[in-house]
Amino acid sequence: MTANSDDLESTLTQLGADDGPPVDPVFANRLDTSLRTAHLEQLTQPRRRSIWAPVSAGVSAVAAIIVGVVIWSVAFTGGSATEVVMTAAADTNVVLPGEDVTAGSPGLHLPDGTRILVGPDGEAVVDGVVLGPGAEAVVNDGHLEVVDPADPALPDLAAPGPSVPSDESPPGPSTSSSAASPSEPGSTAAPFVTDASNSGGGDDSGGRSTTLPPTSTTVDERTSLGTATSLAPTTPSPSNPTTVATAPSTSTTTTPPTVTTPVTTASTIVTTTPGRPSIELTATAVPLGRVRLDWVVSGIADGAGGVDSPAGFRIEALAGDRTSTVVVIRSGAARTATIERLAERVSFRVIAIDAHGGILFTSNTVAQPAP
Amino acid sequence: MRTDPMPDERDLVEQARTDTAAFGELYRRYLPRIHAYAWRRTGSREAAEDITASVFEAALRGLPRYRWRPGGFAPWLFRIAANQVIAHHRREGRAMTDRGQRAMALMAETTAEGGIDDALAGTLAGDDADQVRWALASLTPRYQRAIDLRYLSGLDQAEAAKAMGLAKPAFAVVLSRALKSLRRALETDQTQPSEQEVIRR
Repeated sequence: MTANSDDLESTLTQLGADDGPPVDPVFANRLDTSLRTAHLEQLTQPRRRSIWAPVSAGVSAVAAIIVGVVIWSVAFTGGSATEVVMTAAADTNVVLPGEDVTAGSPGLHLPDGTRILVGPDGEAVVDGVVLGPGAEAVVNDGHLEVVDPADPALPDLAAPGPSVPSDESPPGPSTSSSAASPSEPGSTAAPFVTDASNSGGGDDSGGRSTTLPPTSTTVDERTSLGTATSLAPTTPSPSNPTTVATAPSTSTTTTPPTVTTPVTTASTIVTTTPGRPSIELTATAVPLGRVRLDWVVSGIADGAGGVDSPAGFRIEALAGDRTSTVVVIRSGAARTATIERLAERVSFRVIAIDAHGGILFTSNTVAQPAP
Repeated sequence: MRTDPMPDERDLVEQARTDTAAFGELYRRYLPRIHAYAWRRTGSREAAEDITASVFEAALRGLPRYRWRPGGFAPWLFRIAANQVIAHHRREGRAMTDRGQRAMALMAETTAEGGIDDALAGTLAGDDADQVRWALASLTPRYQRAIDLRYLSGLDQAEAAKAMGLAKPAFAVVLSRALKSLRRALETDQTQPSEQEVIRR
């Protein structure tokens, strides 16, 4: 074409009418998944970077280190000085210790005794732990406890609270129930919440789970200590087993196609002696900077529900002589949890507990695996 | 091509701030248009995909600060796209410095049957669309945006003006200057040997 031609605008118009090749569906799906993941991160970030962030980055980094050390020390001495904070919520009711019921909302501080009830289409992120639809949890001693709804010691959390009608949606940005929902039927998009720990497939028999946001870039001291946890109840181990192979447990959420394969896989054969309850713990590095913990309970003489059967598990992180509770799972059927990789060199252990939190037996200690 | 904001788009954009499904719907609505626009400007599927991805990522990051304006979501999104295209061409420009071109030419000479050489020639001295793309990329960012938004994004004059943050008359002036500048760039392209030709000599 000549530069002086009068048809420059015509050429531009023609060029503007050319749609080119169709969008590659693989690319479209991959980008969709990536955007959904990024959106989730954005929604679950309690703090946003301000325009001053670049200027104050150095100062903030120093402050964060100091605060982090303090919080770390407190947490690792078993203290409960750290506050549990809700960072995102949709279709979630919070029952405060005084029995006041309020809608879950980002930034809500949750004192000990607070109960969190996630609606059937909702989701909440508390202290880095994402509670899936129908999940129930309580705040106890400064950390979150995932509740087994079958626990008779707990009140009926499903009952509507005195202050908020049961059908009332939470206000503000947390009101969108679809923010916590998987993509709509027919959509090519990947599920909203991912759980890389459960890539082994399986059914959604649990009906509730706590899952970790795919990544978190927020400086969150409690998260850095390992409270960001992904949990999935699994079927109880067979009663009185003699040989048990650990394997990825059943899935409660679907993993997007980009993060389906663990970096390493755990495959340990454990030979046990009946009558000596034990937990064999393995730690596996999984994508997105996480560590999946799988454990096998064995040697329970009477099987699940028997005398030695745990009512739940407490996961602890250990660094030197410091110990921190990562999360308590009030379900004796739980066999896996995924946590964010901790910055420090730590080890983990799982403690089987009874209904009162008493220690029944303890797992081996495993070091946090290399990424 | 539909350019009017859809009736429910304002609600959808509001929802998309906190609702991933709503953002997904926006994504599905605009993906073909953004991809097509990026392809028009680059003529490359890979580049179009890179630009498309960066557009939606930038939109996601910017959504909390986005304020609805008459004309809808499209002008805002295409402004982001225009900026991403300009950034892409800047990067490409750096890659195509004289030194870079000499290196590529050397590669071409050492390649049997001149396979890379032919490919380069096809890219740099191709059809009218390629000439326009290259000439466009040589304009100032402001002029690139004006032409992009008016002719290549599917926006009408009013929407393109909004996307530029200008009133329609002011946009018309900028667009006129942009077209004049584009003509000059095309003239230069025709009267002077291209960088590729210089390299070949």
